[in-house]
Amino acid sequence: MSSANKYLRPEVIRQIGRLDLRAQFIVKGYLQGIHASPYHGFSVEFSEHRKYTKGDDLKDIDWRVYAKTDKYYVKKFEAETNITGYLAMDLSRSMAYTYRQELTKFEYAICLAAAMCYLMIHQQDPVGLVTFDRSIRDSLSPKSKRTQLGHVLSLLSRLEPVGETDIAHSLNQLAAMLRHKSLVMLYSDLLTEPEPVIKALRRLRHGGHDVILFHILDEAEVVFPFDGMVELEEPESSNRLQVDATGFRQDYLAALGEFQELYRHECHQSGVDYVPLDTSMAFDKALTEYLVQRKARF
Amino acid sequence: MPTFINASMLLGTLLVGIPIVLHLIMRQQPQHLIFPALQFVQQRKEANQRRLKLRHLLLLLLRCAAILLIAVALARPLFQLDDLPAGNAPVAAAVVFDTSPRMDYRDQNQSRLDVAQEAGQWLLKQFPKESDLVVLDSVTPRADFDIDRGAATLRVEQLHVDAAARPLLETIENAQRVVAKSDKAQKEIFVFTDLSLAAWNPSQLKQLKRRLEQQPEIHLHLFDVGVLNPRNLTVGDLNLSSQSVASGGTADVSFDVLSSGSLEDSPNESRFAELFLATDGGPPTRRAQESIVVSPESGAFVSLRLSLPPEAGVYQGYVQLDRSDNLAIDDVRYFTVEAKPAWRVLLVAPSPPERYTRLLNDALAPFEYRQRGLAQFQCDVVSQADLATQALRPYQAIWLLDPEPLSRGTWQRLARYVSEGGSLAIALGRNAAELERFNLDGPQPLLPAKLVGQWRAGDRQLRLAPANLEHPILARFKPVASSVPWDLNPILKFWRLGPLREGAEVILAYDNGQPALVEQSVGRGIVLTLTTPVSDSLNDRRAWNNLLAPLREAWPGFLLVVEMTHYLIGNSRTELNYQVGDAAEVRLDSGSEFEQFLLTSPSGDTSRIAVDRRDRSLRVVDTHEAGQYELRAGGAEGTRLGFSVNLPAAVTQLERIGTETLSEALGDAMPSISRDRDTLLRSRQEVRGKGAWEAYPWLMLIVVFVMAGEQLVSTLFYRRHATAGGN
Repeated sequence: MSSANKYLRPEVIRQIGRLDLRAQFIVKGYLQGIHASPYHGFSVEFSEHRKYTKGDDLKDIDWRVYAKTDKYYVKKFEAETNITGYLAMDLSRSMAYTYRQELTKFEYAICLAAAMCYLMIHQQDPVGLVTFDRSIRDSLSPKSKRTQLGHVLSLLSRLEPVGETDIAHSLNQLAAMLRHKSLVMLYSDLLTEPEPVIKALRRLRHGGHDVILFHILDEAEVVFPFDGMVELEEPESSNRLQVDATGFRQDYLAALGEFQELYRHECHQSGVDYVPLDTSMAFDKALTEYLVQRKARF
Repeated sequence: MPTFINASMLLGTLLVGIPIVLHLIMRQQPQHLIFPALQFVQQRKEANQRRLKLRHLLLLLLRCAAILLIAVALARPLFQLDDLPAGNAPVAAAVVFDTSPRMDYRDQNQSRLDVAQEAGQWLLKQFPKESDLVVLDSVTPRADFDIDRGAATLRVEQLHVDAAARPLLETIENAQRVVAKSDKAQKEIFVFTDLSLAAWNPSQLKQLKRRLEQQPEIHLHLFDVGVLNPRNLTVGDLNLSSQSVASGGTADVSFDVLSSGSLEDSPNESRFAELFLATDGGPPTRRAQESIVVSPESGAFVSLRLSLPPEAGVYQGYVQLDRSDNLAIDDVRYFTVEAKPAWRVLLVAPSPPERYTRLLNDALAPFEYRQRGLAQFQCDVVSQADLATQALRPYQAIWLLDPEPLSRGTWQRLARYVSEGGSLAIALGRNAAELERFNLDGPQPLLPAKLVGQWRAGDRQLRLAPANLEHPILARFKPVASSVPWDLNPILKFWRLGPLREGAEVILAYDNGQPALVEQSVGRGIVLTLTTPVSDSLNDRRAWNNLLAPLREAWPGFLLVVEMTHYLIGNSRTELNYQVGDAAEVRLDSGSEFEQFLLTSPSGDTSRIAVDRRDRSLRVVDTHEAGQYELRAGGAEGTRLGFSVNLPAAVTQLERIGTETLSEALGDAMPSISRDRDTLLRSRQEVRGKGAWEAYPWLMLIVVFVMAGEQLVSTLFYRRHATAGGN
């Protein structure tokens, strides 16, 4: 693993205190990684060359390429079209959970969101931030200025996951708020009834927005690593259940699989990108998802 | 219904409670955990709990089944296949206990009989109700079964070691006879034995084998209560130089100390052999002692000299080892000797009688002994001429040395003396040359046959050649039978006898087969006739023999005349020492007038014994106890007699018979041998098992499958999930 790549790992990022540095390390590590990867086509910071067509600014012709190839190529320095991105953070208390990982689901989501923000600002895409629990709590309207990064990160670093949540309601609110077609990146553990959430996602899609759903679970929630008799307590509702964890693992994993499959299927139907993540996974999967999404729009 | 070889193992089925208790009570305390994704748990809980319960139940059942199967398998169930009765059907069983003195051998503070009794009590409880049971010991023959189990149990409780034990094989034969009477299908004999060679004499096993083969339906089981490496010192059978000794005289008491049992690695043992004698009705006091070293291989030989008090009477004592061992009963041997005043013997010879009688007189009462008053015999010498007037009654025996023909009256006087109970020895010599005068009516009643003529050896020498040494006169030669130097007492001449009279018996013959010493009864007395003289001196060139004038150190002639004299007096017939079970016979003095005696046995029991009037003797038949027996009549001033009874030394030899030897002797009839209860039950079941099917191996196979199943289920149950979760 290269020195930059290691910043894609949650346990390493955990050791970096400042969120802006975290975001920077994640993105740089990621970008360095993709130069040597099949994702070469996603060059973002650097431009692309394309054939000159009528109407292109003559300033943009790369004369050095012309000298070599005797053909006109136009240098594309930065994104020509901007996506307005919204980072939507779930503040539910369940997001504060971790079993033995060093990052809670929420911290993982924050890191990811910060990295995403960093990347987008870098691309001069306007980025906004929405946080919600039962309804929308904070929101920053999207901007592409460099200063926006500071605003977003400072808000992110102040967030605490403490309340109950109503994802569907909050998404509906968000859908009502959005004026332009936007890319909504939702960070949530989705631990609530799936039907209303799916409906809300459909509504967002109906509004012409693109949605990437980052479904973040703790590693323990994905693996169910317990043994013997356990009493499990749900932090939001304080419901308790006693089970023989050893004998239950299979059933749990099946139920989780069904749940994820439901979202995957529904999201696919609705054109929502569903990205299941857990807190042990490297950040690159999420970033790649974003870039794929971005490319698909152009 | 199956029967169980180790029924006690069925208790193990109770262990089945352990997994059940663990399942019901010992539930694990749940660990409390925060877990946001509870909704997935909730969804599946119902179905999972049902499946979980089912699996737990399956595991519980498999574990319980494994425990039950193991317990049942260890109990070794047998299923009866043929028509032999089932395990709870009544049987006919004889329980035989060897109660010989050997069974008194103590080890770990228990005698062999104690061990046998314990196991016997247990065994009696194993028999189903209504069984025909009989308990036999080595003493009392049995003709029928005990009334019930209670009676049998009581008999076992009352068993005790008995010196007068019958051979074990006889008791087994007795048991076979009793068991054969039963109509029960299963017949068994259990023998509690120490498996010693003394009980299982290989030469007698053939009969047992034959009987076992004749009765194949009777199964014999041996329960070995013996100690595998016994160690025992035995005071061997006593050898008294004489049971009847002159008052104040001495007798040698000799015996072997035998070491029996395991000889390996046994060191020599140092002991003291002690001789005790009771005098004046007091307690026995130690009269002699000898330090001995007993080698494990050859034992030790002990000879103790017993000096008797000057008073005449019957003396009883014993010899013992200073420390007793595990088998105390054979560490002591009892003896009884009789002290009498010196016996008066009349030596009659032609003139000059001193010349004729000097050798015999010195042989019977050596000069030094006479001087010190220790001589056994008081010999008076009289010439033939004076015999007619000599009083004969005071003499217990008369020797007639090389007699010249006597007057008819003198012969008749001698004959009357003999027929009234007197004893006469005649040593014929050259003075009998007028042999026809010895063939007359006068002397003939006292002689065993007519004299035929002199036998002269010429250049050949004869010697005495006893055919056997069973006669009391020759008994002293027996221990050294192979080394008696008879050829140092050569015989040159003797009188040949005609056909012997009826009742006359040759005790000793020459090596040409001609009679040398002949015994015949005349009235109540006896006459011994020696066909060669005992009066010829060494210097006499015409001597007929060298009996009392021997070449070199020839002692047989001396011993012969001494023993002859003892025999004449009746000492040889005085038997005061018996073995257990023998009928004891005590001869009374001719002067005794008592008609009844009080017998006191070694254990102190008393009974009255009537005197047999015909031969003035007492017969005691019940001698089953070893020890001193006392006979009294006439109170403190009256007569006191007695005799001793000992165990034969061979009875307490503890060498064990090897299983191979036993098996070799009994062949197919070889019984089972057990040393513990389980083995006995097993061998008993094996006998039954010949028509039964033992489920043990199959049960163990099922146990293996059940345990493998349990392992499989628990692995499927837990491990796979663990692995799946780990991924």
